[in-house]
Amino acid sequence: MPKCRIVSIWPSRLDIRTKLALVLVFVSLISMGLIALFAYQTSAQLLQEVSIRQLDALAESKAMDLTRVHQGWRDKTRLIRNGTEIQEGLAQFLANHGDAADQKLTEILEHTALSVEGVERVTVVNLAGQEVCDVGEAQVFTEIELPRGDREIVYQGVYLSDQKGLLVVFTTSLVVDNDVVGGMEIVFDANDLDRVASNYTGLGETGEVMVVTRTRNNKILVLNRLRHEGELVGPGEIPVSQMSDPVTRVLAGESDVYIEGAVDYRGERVLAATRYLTELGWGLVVKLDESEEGERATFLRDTMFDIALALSAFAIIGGTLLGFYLARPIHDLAVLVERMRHGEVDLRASVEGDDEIAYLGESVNALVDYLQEAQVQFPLDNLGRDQKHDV
Amino acid sequence: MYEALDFLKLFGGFVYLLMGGDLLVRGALGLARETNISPMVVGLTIVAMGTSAPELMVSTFSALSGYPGIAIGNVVGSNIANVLLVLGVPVLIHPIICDQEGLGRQTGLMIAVSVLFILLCVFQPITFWAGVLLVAILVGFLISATRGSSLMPGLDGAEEELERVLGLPSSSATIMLFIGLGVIALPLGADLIVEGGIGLAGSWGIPETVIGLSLIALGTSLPELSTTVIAALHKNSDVAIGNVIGSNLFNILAILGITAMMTDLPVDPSFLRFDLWVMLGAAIILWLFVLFKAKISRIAGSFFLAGYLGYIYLIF
Repeated sequence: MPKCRIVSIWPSRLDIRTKLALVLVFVSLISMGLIALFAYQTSAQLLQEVSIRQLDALAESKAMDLTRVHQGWRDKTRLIRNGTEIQEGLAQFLANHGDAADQKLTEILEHTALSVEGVERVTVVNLAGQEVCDVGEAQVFTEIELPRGDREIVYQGVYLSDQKGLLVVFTTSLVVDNDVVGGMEIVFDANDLDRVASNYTGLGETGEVMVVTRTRNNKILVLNRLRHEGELVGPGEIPVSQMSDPVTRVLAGESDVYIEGAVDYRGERVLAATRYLTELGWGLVVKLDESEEGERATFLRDTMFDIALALSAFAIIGGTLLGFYLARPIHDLAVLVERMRHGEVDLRASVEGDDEIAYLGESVNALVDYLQEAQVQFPLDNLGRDQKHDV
Repeated sequence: MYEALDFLKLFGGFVYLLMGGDLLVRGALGLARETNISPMVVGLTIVAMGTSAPELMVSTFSALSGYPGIAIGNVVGSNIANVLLVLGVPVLIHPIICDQEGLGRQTGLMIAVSVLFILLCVFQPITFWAGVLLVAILVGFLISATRGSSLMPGLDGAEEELERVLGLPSSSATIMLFIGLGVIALPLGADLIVEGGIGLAGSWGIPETVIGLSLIALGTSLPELSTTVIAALHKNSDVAIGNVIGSNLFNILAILGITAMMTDLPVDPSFLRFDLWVMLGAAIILWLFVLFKAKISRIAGSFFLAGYLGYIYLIF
């Protein structure tokens, strides 16, 4: 009996190999989809954690920068106060009280104001707090409080000037021959502060730094220019009620990280990290729009989707090949039976392996052998007659 | 890393296109059989459009995504690959004798349509009305095919072939599943291919037209190549010519026509400098073989293949 490897026709209904391949492909795709979903969720969470840590690190870094700026103003104040010329000029002025001494002191102060970067105004007062001499244009309408200690430098606050913008004021005592003879108020511009706050490195397209402080009339003063101009251009005062949660809370002395629920002055949902600068009473808010963070997550999701989709091609090919391989014996057997039904009775199934399909092939072969032997022993015509007879 | 990802996208895209096209055609054929639609209508509509769906999807996706160079490059590159590669490879296995009835007229039509395509490129952009013209010519060809003038080769017997190999779905649920999966898989595959192609063009610093002419065109021509190679292994290479001519006509009339109907297609000048003439030249070479009823021998096949490799080398 010829054993045939069946490779031919199966009629028009859907092939079992296709069905099995489809099922395998479907299962593979579902598995890959679940893996991709899990990977995306984990990655998105990690991405947000990284962003928050980055914001926190940036807030810490900016706080240190602002502390350095503050220290710089103090150093300049100390430099001016310790200048021999000023001390001598003041001593002469106190001793002579003449126009010449006044002129001399004014010249010294002008020279000082020009030689130290960022100085907008220098004012010298006597022990009674009365103004003795001043240079510069910046107007700060405050009473000058002399420091109590003879070496102390005191940060007095920040003020908004129409002409000069934001100004930072320090006072210090003036000492001649170990005696405190008066005091000095030095007004600096806030360019250094703005430089730190306007550096958006690491803050993406929407990230922003806000340096804020509370004014005496219980408003919040934004000390730097803001990135999103047109909505709130700093420096400027804003009522507390209009301020966001991170701003009000940092001014209450809390340094924190806001992962969700924070809304900024524009009404945008933001991720934020805050620091409170105790020495200055300033709050620092470093924030990033959630939408930008969302864009990263969306990019990540799309990329992972594309990768999963592209990799699923292997699942499709693998599923198809595996489906065809597994279902081929069944398909072959079905084709064999079909061909036998059409008269090719000498065909036999090729039996490979020891599984159920091999057993089925053997059984089919045995059945056909039996039928052929039976037909030889009991020809169909006789069988038919016998049956008729029985009936 | 990104290059590998782009290659992966291209590969995955082609697999999805092949799978989607196959499922769509088999689902549609199953539906047609269940609803007793005439085999002629099925052959001229479902099989014709269904088998071209992958190329159509890639071209429309790329054109609508702002990369018309890929759309036109795919058509031009496919037509070049069809003649030089899809015919070149199988004749290395078994030569083809170009003496089939009606082949001369079909090849002539292919050249005429190619010349029309070049003219449309000269007077670019290829607009909606140019697309209407191309589709109208296609419809005319299909109608003439129903009258037995055999102008559109490659469609006859496609249904029987698909049915013979793996069968067709018969239950409503399976038919809908096949069509649904095909409809989902085709745009997914096209999107992956366009993304991968654009990514590779960016990585390699070459225009996207080159990717369209080479990798994408090659990928969309692979099914034809595999069919003709299998036919050649069965010493039946002659069917390859009909498939190639039919595919080239469809590429210009259906794919370019429908894409142009969706959005205007500006033509990169580089196509007119080189690629379109290679396409026309390949068509004329094939026409000469058909005209003299010559045999495309293994030597000729080697020249075809070398020509294709040389072309790919030149565009890169």
